Amino acid sequence: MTTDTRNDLVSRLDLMEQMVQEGRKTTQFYGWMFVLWGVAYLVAIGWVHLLPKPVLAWPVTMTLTALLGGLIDARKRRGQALNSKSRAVWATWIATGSAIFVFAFGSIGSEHGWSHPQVMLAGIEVLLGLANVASSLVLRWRLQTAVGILWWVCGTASFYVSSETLLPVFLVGIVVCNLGFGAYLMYLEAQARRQVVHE
Amino acid sequence: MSDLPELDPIIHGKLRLALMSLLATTEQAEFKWLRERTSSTDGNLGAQLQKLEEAGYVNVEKKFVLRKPVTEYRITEGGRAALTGYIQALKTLLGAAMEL
Repeated sequence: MTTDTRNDLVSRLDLMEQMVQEGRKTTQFYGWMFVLWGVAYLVAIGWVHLLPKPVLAWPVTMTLTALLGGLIDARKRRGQALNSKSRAVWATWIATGSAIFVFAFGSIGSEHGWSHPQVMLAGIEVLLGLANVASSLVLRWRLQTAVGILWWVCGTASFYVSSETLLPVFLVGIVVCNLGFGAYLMYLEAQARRQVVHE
Repeated sequence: MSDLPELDPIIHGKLRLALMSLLATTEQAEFKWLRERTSSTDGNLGAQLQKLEEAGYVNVEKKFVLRKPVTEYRITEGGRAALTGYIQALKTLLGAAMEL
């Protein structure tokens, strides 16, 4: 085997290694999704307190946000690749989001549902914690684990606080776990994009 | 030297090898993403992907997302096996080269 041939074979190995790394580091950017849902919760809360027909506030706001999120996600995913890690995170959030919709809206007609807002809100907060912790375990990201645990703390607290304190507890979760974490994630993603451009 | 394995000529091309390596680490990838990662032209990329598809190493799916055409590629089981075989052959050849 000549040196040229050997160098050529080594260059193929290098090429494979480089491409495998490219494929592994592909993940979609989802900071905007946390911020979108955080804003949607605030809009729904604002509607309940300030606008007419408050009974429609949560179903309408959440349904429109789900549609808007799906639309933006479909646009953002164009021209991308999906690896097993990004699929695992995506599946976690789709399944949890669907579970929250079933839990929150499936109980609307039941006397055991929203007549006990502490239990309902606690359930939703626990589910949000579950999605964050599951996602953090896939991504091996401790900050998101902390976000999930904070949702669980809010969920547990919701069982014990008075009905007047229920909303402030939920607001803590929204501001820290959705708006704060989402904004930080968007900042990290902007940095990652700049790095890709400079490479 | 006759015991040395032959490298699969379909995979051995540089761009095709890059594509197979990318597709082996992703579940699916769009044409645009593959073009950006390999810095190749539309024509060359399309031609090489077609060769891989004809060899049965890659599956192509064309669909519309939000009314825009999207072409997605996935590595097949045969393609994955061929890539594994290629890597084994490459290792054997390089091992033999080290012994010389």
